[in-house]
Amino acid sequence: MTVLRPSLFMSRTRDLLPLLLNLPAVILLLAFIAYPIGISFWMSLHRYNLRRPDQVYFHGLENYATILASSEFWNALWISLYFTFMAVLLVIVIAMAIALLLHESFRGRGVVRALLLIPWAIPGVVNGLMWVGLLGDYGAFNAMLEDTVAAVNYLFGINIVYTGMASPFVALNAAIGAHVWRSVPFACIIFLAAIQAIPTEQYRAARVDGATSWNRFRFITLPWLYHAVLVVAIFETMNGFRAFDLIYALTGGGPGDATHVIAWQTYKEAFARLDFGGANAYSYLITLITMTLAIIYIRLLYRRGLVQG
Amino acid sequence: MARVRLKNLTKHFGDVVAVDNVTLDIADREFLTLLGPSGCGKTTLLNMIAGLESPTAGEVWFDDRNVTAVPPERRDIAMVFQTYALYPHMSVFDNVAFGLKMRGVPAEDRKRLVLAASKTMEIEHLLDRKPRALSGGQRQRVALARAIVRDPGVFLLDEPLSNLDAQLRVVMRTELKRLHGELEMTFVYVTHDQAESLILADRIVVMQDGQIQQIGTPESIYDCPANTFVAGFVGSPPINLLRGTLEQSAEGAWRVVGEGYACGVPVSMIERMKPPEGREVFLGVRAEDIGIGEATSSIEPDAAAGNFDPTGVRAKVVVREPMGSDLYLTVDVGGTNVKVRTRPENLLDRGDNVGLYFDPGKIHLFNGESGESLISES
Ligand SMILES: Nc1ncnc2c1ncn2[C@@H]1O[C@H](COP(=O)(O)OP(=O)(O)OP(=O)(O)O)[C@@H](O)[C@H]1O
Ligand SMILES: [Mg+2]
Repeated sequence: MTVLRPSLFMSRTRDLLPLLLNLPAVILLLAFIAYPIGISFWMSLHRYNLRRPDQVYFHGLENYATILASSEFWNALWISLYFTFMAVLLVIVIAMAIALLLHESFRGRGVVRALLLIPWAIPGVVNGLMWVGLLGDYGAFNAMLEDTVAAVNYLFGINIVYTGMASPFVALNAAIGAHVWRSVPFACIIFLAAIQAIPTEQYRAARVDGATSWNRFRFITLPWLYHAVLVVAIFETMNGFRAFDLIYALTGGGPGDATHVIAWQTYKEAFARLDFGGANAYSYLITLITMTLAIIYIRLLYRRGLVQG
Repeated sequence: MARVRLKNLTKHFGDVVAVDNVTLDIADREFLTLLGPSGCGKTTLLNMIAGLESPTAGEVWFDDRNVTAVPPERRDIAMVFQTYALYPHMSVFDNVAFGLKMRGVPAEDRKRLVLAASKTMEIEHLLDRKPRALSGGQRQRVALARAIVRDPGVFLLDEPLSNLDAQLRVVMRTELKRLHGELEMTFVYVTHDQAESLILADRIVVMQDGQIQQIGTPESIYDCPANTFVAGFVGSPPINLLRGTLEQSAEGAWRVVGEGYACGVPVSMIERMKPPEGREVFLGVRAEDIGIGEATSSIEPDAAAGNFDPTGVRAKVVVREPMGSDLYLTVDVGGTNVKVRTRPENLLDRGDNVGLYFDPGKIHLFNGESGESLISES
């Protein structure tokens, strides 16, 4: 049999054709991802405030310096850190508890598994509005909280004043609660998949070895879920830092600056103050923070040898 | 130290009857193997002995204790699983020590016991490694060390060698036999490998479809199989089974006659036989109990067969399989394939006609319908 050598022409078209076919996608990616990333960085190095369209000029890292020197930024950063930390913690604990429960067989498990997905399917803004309904002045949760506080006051003879969403503490933690409520299903699915991948013989061996149910969780389930927990942690950390739509609908950043998370602050820079230079610098700071955290997590994954390098 | 008794143990999974009314008495320090094809309920039976699976009906007794409702950790057992089930995130040392730790053995004692067990299993140099950094044979040793470290009364092994390559299996088989000699434990060993079973066991329990087919020493299982299933399952190559009819000659001699063969039945066998008159039977004969006679020109019965030739078998060679020390011939006897073991020097080849001789003292007779042995064990 003779081997057909492609002619020069053919080999060239062969090289060109895949390129041509990929070109639309490449152009779209460049236009909608690479270009905005580049241009926003470029803008973050400029003084660029729409209120002063006559004064657009390059001024290096000045925007960053201004932001880092402002108390607004540090306030937003702490709120975001608290928000994210609590969200990640609660999501992991709650999702794992639910996943462990759903792993057990009981009547109607399939229905419960399907119901679990509903919060995930709800868009962030809708979720926010729904919680406004629950926590607003006439909301059911609000009434319950109010009554609880009244009962506590009565029982212990103290006087805690409950002001609902007007209280910074309630507003911030309510936002965290709503965020967690929406984030749990996804984490739960990841955990459930990971739990189902644990061989039953591991548990049988542990039972023969005399491990109690708590020890079986501690020494078998948890180590087997290490990977899944880290994946959820990475995902939820990024989600937490970028939380915006929910805040927008639920608290609007208030009361005062109580729920001024960093993404909200970015929004404010851009669309309230119209300072596009500063807002872009804010986005880059968020990116920097989330990327740093992601790198730490990923290094943890590699260190445990759970990801093949 | 433990004697294990199973009383009418039954386990259903929905409609599946995994174990069906098993009654068994396992002596202290006995090496007992549960032998049977895949899916016959061996693992389920072992799990019930371990307490990992609760029986649908029946009882499990350890010595004079009814342990049917006792959880595994309080049964004085250790178990080696089909997949070893080592804990992947723990070092070998921690794997072996885990059971001791869970039982609250102090750290110094733990260390001493783990070292002793690792020494027995020759894995001292591996203690710092994680299971994923071990070879299959090493994992097997760790699994065994983890089981013996607690010095249990009953040692349960679920196909512990099935994941090893053929050579390593031979090595570990010897190792297990040595272990059983050294440790004063009752071994219950599950396998689907009849050779492993014959080599290791004091007694073999042959199972099929959740039911015990036969219990006996390797010799009795091999020499006096209770039915065609056991006869076919134990021994390699499987026993040859030929349909035939029992007949008595005018002189009173007995023989089995079937398509293409006739074989005399010794009087001693007839004496131990359940009433045989005019029966359809299965004649069982192992490859090594068949002699090869003269090559013949045809497989048509000659004049002698018309008379009363007690052992005449006419065959045609179908396949020739040399196996080093032995040569196996597959021959056609009246439409049935029969395996014959012979010396490798034998030159018979495909297409040759040959006369065979079934050793009458070594044949087995089974009921032609039920497959039960016709010979009562003497
Ligand atoms: N948890 C279970 N649920 C339903 N059916 C089961 C379960 N465990 C075992 N079975 C069924 O019970 C029967 C016996 O299974 P078992 O695992 O005891 O077989 P085995 O003899 O150990 O087979 P193998 O040699 O393949 O390991 C099989 O038909 C199997 O499908
Ligand atoms: Mg099995």
